[in-house]
Amino acid sequence: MTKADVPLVKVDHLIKSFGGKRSLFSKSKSIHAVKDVSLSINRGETFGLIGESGSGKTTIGRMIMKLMDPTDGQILYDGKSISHFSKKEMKDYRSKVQIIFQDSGSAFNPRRPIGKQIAYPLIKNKKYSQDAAMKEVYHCLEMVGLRKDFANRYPHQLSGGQRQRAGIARALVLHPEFLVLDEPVSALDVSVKAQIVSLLENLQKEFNFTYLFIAHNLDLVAYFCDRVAVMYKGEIVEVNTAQQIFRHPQNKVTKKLLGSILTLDGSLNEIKSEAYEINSIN
Amino acid sequence: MNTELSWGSKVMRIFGKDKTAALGITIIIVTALVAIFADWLSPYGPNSAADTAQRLAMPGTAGHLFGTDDQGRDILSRIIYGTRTSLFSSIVPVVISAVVSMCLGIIAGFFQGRIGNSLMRIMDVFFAFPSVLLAIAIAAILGPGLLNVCIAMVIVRIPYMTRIVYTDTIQEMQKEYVEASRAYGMGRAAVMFREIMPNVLPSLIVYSATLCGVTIVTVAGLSFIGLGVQPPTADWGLMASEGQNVLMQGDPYVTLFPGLAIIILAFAFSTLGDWLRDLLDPTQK
Amino acid sequence: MNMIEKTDSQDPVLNIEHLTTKIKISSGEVSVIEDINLKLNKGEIMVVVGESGSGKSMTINSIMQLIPKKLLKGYEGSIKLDQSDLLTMNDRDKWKLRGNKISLVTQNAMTSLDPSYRVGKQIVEIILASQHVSKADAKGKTIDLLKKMGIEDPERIYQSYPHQLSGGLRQRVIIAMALSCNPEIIIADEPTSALDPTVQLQVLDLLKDVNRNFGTTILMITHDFGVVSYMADKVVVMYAGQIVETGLAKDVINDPQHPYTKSLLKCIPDLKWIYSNSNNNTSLFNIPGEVPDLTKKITGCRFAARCFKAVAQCSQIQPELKKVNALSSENNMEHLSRCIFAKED
Repeated sequence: MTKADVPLVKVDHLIKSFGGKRSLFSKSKSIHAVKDVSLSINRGETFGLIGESGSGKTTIGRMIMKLMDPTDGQILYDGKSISHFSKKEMKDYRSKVQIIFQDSGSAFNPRRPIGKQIAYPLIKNKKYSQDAAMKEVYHCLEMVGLRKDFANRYPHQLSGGQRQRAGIARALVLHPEFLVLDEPVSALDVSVKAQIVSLLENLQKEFNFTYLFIAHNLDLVAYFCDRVAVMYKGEIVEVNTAQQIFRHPQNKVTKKLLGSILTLDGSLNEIKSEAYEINSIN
Repeated sequence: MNTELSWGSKVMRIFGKDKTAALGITIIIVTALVAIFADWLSPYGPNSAADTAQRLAMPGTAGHLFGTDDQGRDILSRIIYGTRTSLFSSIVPVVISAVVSMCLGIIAGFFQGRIGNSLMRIMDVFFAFPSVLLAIAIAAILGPGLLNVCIAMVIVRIPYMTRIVYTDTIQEMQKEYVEASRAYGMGRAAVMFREIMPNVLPSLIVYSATLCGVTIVTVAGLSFIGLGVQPPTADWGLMASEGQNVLMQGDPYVTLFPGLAIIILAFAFSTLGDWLRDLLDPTQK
Repeated sequence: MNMIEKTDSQDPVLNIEHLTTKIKISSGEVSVIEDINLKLNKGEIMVVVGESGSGKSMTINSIMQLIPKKLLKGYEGSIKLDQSDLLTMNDRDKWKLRGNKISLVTQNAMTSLDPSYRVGKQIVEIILASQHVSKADAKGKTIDLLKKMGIEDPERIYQSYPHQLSGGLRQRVIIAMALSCNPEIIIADEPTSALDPTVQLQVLDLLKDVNRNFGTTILMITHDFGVVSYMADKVVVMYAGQIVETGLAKDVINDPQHPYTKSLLKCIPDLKWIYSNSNNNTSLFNIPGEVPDLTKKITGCRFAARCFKAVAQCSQIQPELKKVNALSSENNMEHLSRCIFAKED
């Protein structure tokens, strides 16, 4: 098998449950946030994960980032299980895989300038000198369309769109291959949304990034993603190419989701009327 | 909007806006200067009884602005020397307990599992006693004396302050910048003390400043009932206590002046707390 | 369109004329909204669309008089609610008039509900305060309202605390609450921005039903043109504190005149390619730059710096709202655009 055949990220029968701990007098009820999810993301593609809030899509992103450990199942990165990484491999993984958050307002520490926060992993993990790190920071800020002097600003001095750009710069600084985009534009204004999505697109073209795009802006998912998985109550109910998902949705959940897109013209009307029927049955 | 104000101008601006805070801070600075230069400022030594004829001199008596107490000691001089014990016994225990609580609170909040829970349960046990009662009990066990009072105050304040840090830490832990720092491989200690600490520190500092005022009153109370500073040391609480014998004999000023000093300094600390809150807010322009 | 007849001969329910709201800032004052004119007729749904910094929230806060006294410098113009001007009234009359006629539905249902009371009780309190009915009647009315909001087991919801309800249910309760004092106008401040798309659709449908069945006039603000096209009879597009385009929703969406409106519409991905046999080769339109800082003086058109159509003249002359050729002429609603290139009527 050549390297290209191995999916970059493979999620294998992943289970995550919360709670269920035994305390002195009782056992709390456990909640299954993710139930037996398997999916594979190929190198260079944008994989969309959609579903209502609470469907488990964010939890999967967090587990791939190893911010959370799965209850069962495994995650393979480039064919290797991330839970069996050595310390050195883990350090390497931390720079290959990065995340961009939804709430740009809390994604930066409010008490330190943006530039210092972006430079920190370079100085700490990669042993850059202060000057070399700042040079790299300026370069990354430039790539996301921010001027140099933004490095000296504090998070509250930036607008939502600028903060999200800075968040992307922080992810770029370690030269990652794979980015988890956790609703990166949900909290932004329409015009800023378009700016950020275009930026992400351009960066992908330039660096051949692989994206996991977690979102509930369905029209953007249709536009941006190559393949899409639909989640419902911790399970994946449908996976297909974006075009097929939006054109011929198979699952009732998918149809309901698509029916909720508010389009300006009459597109998706067939699906919408079908979704209405589903809604009226339920 | 995008120009960060320098600390100096920030201080001046908030200072200019808030007259009460300006007054409070001036009081604290003056008190500190008085404590340092007590030897020069004070007309008499703290324990020098001029002569027995001068016992219980009324305020305004020549040479004794605030009068003298029942042993003929100059009250003004004793208040001036008393700033030393008062400032020491209010600030030192609060600072020590703040440092300890900061560490305990962040650790408990960061490791919410077994470590955090057992730590906080222990705190809750202390929490259950009224703090003054607990302070009296500890001071009684340790025996009277300034140092022991300070130890008692440290023990009494830790549970409160740890709870504040703990709650703030849990709140900060949910913010995405903490996850972001873990995502690029920052170590646990760095996340706790580099990322989280600067964000929980301000509310602790604010609380500490206010607590200094409360501590002055508590220490004075302990001295008043004989568990704190021992005579003949000049201490405001102790002076107020000594004055009670002559309070009803027409000499209320022996208690009045040290009492006023306690109230004024406590007030000054509480305004300092409010002022610090504004100063430490990063979004304050 | 709607079952309630929209009569233009009547006076508007809400009539805002030349409204300018000034806010104090450290270096003096700034007009956060400028010369706003809005006419809302009975039974209409008007949607104000704009991004953050457009002044849409300030417009609503001005109507609701929710701007803190500490910040407010002053109002100019008039906000007439059934012929009486809110801006010249004393506080007591203002509160009374407004309390009976306007209800506010906010974005975050969680903060609008008191977490320590059962939701039913909270609605009953409002009914008891605004109407002379017995407690039992108020409860009956509340259950009835909840039922009308499409809630299947109103008795159970009545007994629930806010945190026990899902986001969608909470928003329904808020709308029931808003309706409990029989308002003429509901002002909805991004009522669905925090919700899942499927739930958003349900809540929008509910608001439409309320409009149709109760004849309640709705003034809604949003940043989403999808919501505009789904809900609005009339639309007002705001940018940097000014109205840049207004008209019937279908006119504005199908034949936008202002470059900002055009750009905003183009920021929404076009999904037609899905039905083609080719891959997606559309690309997203970008509005460069950011909303201007209103504290700095802007000469000329406020959108000029970001506009794809701008010429030198744009940054010199401040354009006025001009009447443009409307596609449809019903409702006597004019289609206006604040652009020197707008094709005139």
